[in-house]
Amino acid sequence: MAIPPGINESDFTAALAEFENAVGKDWVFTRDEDTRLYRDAFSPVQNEPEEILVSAAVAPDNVEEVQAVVRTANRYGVPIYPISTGRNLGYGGSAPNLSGSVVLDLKRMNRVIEVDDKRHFAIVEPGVSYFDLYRYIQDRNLKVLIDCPDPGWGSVVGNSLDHGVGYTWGLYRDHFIAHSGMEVVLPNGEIMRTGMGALPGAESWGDYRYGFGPHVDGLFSQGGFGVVTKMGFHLMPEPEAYLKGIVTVPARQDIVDLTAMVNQLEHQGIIGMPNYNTPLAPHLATPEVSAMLSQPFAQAAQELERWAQGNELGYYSVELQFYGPRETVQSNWRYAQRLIGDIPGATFETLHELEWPIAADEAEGLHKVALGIPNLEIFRLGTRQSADTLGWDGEMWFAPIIPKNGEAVLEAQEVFTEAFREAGMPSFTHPASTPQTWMYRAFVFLMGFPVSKVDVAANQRQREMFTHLANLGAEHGWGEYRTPPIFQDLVMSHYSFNDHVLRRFSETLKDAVDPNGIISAGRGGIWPRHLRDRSA
Amino acid sequence: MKHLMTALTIVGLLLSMSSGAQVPEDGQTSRELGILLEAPESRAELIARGEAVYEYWCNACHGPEMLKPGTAALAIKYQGALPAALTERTDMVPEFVEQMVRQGISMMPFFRPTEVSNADLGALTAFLTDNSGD
Repeated sequence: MAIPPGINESDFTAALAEFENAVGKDWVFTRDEDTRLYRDAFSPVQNEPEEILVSAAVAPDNVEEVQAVVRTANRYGVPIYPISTGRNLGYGGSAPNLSGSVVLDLKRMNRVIEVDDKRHFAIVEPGVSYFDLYRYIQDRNLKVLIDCPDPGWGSVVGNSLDHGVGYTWGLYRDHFIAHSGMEVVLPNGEIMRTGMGALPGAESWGDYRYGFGPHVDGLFSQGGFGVVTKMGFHLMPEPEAYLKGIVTVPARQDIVDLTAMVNQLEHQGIIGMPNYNTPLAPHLATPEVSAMLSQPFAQAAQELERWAQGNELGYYSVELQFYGPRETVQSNWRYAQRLIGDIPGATFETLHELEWPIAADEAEGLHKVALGIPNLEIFRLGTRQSADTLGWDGEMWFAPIIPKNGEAVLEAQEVFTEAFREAGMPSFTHPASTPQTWMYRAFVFLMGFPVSKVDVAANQRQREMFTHLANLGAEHGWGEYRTPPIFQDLVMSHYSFNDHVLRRFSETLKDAVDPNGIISAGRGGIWPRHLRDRSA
Repeated sequence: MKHLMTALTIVGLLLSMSSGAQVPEDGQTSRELGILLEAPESRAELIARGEAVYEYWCNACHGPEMLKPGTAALAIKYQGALPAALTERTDMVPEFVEQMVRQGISMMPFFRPTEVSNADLGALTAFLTDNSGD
């Protein structure tokens, strides 16, 4: 049996016995065959000494059991790592930052407490997946839309706490901003409620997120200050209609005007999430174009643009999604065409028009999450691509935040593509790369680094490049919004304004709130005092 | 059937729906599938439970539609030699199903006993191998 660091075997045995008393023998896992199920399934250090393994897992059913487990852990100094459903694939999965931690698996706490389709909110426990919440709403014919990330199996609570994101309208797709109030078990075992939940008898937990006084909810996202056991979320009312149109523009520099115009639409609430892409995507791997792209950036960009224009393919596209009354979505689409029509050569096409309720066959083949329908179809992108290769076994996401304008996109294209060329690696970016737009007010210049279950050397190369790009990005003012545990110290080190005062402030709070450092040590780059040297 | 219901930990469905809009307490809950801790007595119940587990945990990737990533991947792997949809397979043995669920393969991650309990894995295995050798 593995023992957590900093604790002797007899204390750990005693703690495990108390865990069993708290949650029942069926829900304490110490055998290797069970604890290995809390590894990061997409670990970039799989089967290497750095791989993070857990000593045990405990799965409470309710908040009282969570309190009992936390109190025991606090008394014995057992490091625990709460997970909701333990997905978070590509950003660490279910694995803690500190090897030997005991995972506090909250999957069994899967109650939907309440969904209100007149005031438009939900209150759920951490084990509730997007699939669960969707089914709950469908079964009761409630008129609200959920905003979900691509994989629907993740936790509504967990995704929010990881600053996860989705695909519909404005702030609904920033899942932490969309939350309203939480219940937290603190490191000493006390239960705290935030927002209106702190006011006994208040009926507005799901409505008003701040309550009164300092808004402390952020400490529980990407942080180790407590175990979140319930959260409220604002939901979008089910709209009448959905319209998706696509705009194509011909020149590389058009991204500057295009993003400004799309921002103008989005920040007024006229469109939901815009999806930037390039019509060149299907052609990038052809011998002709890939030869073009192997040249130094400036030349590659120039030739690619000429080639795109010669073939009349367009250089960038953006899908615009309209939600609302049927008259309004049509009118807003016409306004978007009038606005963006100022870009010479811009073309417009209406792709889909739907009205709620949307039948399953109507949504087939569409991007279902934009319609609030959870699914797992995204994994087609990574699974076996041909009969003789396995493709990726997983990925780690490199996800730097850049400003929401075309100038930043052009700069990021060049900086990252040149970095790959200088490293002699196949580039994940090119002179027509476009950003992800999940965040309402920022772009993410996302790259998926492949990880292998068997090829240690390949994983090492990918990690080196990931580290290089993270450092390079930071030099340009671009920082990751979320990252696998092995990179969290590095990424936090980039947020260094005024001698790392942000990290030091969080450490001060950590020492006060969790003096024994038991909860999620190292998460978000914040280590408890007794482990701080390891990250220095 | 009584035994099956007591073996399930579907407490939510049995609780009164009393929440209202108060500061939420555990009242109105949704735990439709629940977690099975003991195998049902009859084979029919076992297979019915296995089908429910399949629908809940597997179908989103392994349903018959080719948009489903598991099915799409297996179509490429088997090239027609075996059906791509798991429910159409007749060759699977329990050890194979157990290994896939608990170890995963390629992009498919493993599933934990807090998701698919050992009893539920037994039911799933019974469902997926029910037609083997027919």
